Amino acid sequence: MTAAQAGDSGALDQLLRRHYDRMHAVCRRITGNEADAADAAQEAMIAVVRGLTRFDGRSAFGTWVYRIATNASLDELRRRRRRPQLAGRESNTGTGKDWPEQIDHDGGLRIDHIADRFEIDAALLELPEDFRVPVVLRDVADLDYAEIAEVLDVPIGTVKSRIARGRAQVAATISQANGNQHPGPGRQTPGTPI
Amino acid sequence: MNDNDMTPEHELASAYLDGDVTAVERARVEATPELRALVASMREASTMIAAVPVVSEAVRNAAIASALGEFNVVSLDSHRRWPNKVLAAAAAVVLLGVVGVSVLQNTSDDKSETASREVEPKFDANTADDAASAGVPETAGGEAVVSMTAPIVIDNPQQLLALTVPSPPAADDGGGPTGSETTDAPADTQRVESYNLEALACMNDDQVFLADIYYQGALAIAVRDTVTGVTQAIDSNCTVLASVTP
Repeated sequence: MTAAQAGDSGALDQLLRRHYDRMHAVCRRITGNEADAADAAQEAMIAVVRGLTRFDGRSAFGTWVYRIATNASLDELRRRRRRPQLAGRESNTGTGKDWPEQIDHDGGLRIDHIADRFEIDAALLELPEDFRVPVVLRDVADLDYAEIAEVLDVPIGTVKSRIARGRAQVAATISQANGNQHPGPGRQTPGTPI
Repeated sequence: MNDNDMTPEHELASAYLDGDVTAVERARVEATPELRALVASMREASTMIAAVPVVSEAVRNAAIASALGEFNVVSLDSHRRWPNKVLAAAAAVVLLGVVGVSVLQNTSDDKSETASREVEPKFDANTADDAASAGVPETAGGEAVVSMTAPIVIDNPQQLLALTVPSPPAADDGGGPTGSETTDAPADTQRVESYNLEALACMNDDQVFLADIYYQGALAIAVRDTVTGVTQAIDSNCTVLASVTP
């Protein structure tokens, strides 16, 4: 990192490659689709380069780049909202109640992992950003509560509760989307009294 | 799920999943079937969230290439700041000197001689050497000043290649223009004066300045690599408009 800050482009190339996949993964889960994730991740990479000389090491480099990736993703989402949307896409990212039927219409062509991908994207997009981002930073970026609190500039307690609520809602959405076909402990609705 | 659905058990299950519980809390979760079910459903959700599709090599390479391109621009900008200040200060000093000398000369009786030194470059594609030489006017003090004249119009690479490296006048020749010499003098022996300070900052250590030019209508500088002999037209964005190998 020091070499990259000093102007070593080879060192910068290595640094970017080391962090790109995880940054892209964060962007992928926050934006909900490949195209926006690619754009956001690229913007994030450029922002990292532009800010590299100003990075003072007070936070971990990983925390810093995830903050950048998060902001780039949220910016991409705001740009997306200003763009016209295809009806089908809106349908998939809306209530989340109409997409399982679309996939089921494909009958035997349905492939589980593709369905899961749509399923989790739809479930995550139903979450408000305030809940989606900490969940993604925890489950995708593997940041701990303190690091997420630093990235989002909120108290740790807020991070914990937002992650809990976010996970619970995603779990409930997945369960509903599957029509509770596989009941069991893992499919129990979080609202169920314990 | 709304706010009312959220219970302390959800937060406990989530914290258990992250290993952020006390021994007592852990025991409670593991002893309660409903809590274990909640943990399982959250674990399934977390696993699905973490299973991000693998990004393609092409997308990764494009993003990194784009960032590295930005890095080169940022690096260039940082390197250009200091030379630009130096060059601007040097240009200001030279300009003041020239103006001062001109004022002094205007007070003298020899106005015709002063006027004869205000040489405008005339480019002729057939006599590029002369044109380049015409771009080497003499100051009142008898020093050769490279360029700082009207940019030379260059329309094709051959004209660019025909430009020569201006050299300072010999000490005993009265300080006149150097004619059609093609001496590749090192850059640091020249007093480079140019309208195009931004483009000058794009030169590397092996290049010498030839002249301010309009290359196919674009303001640029002509430079020559003293090692390879390659002559280039470079604009203020460091874009190489033309590159000619001898």
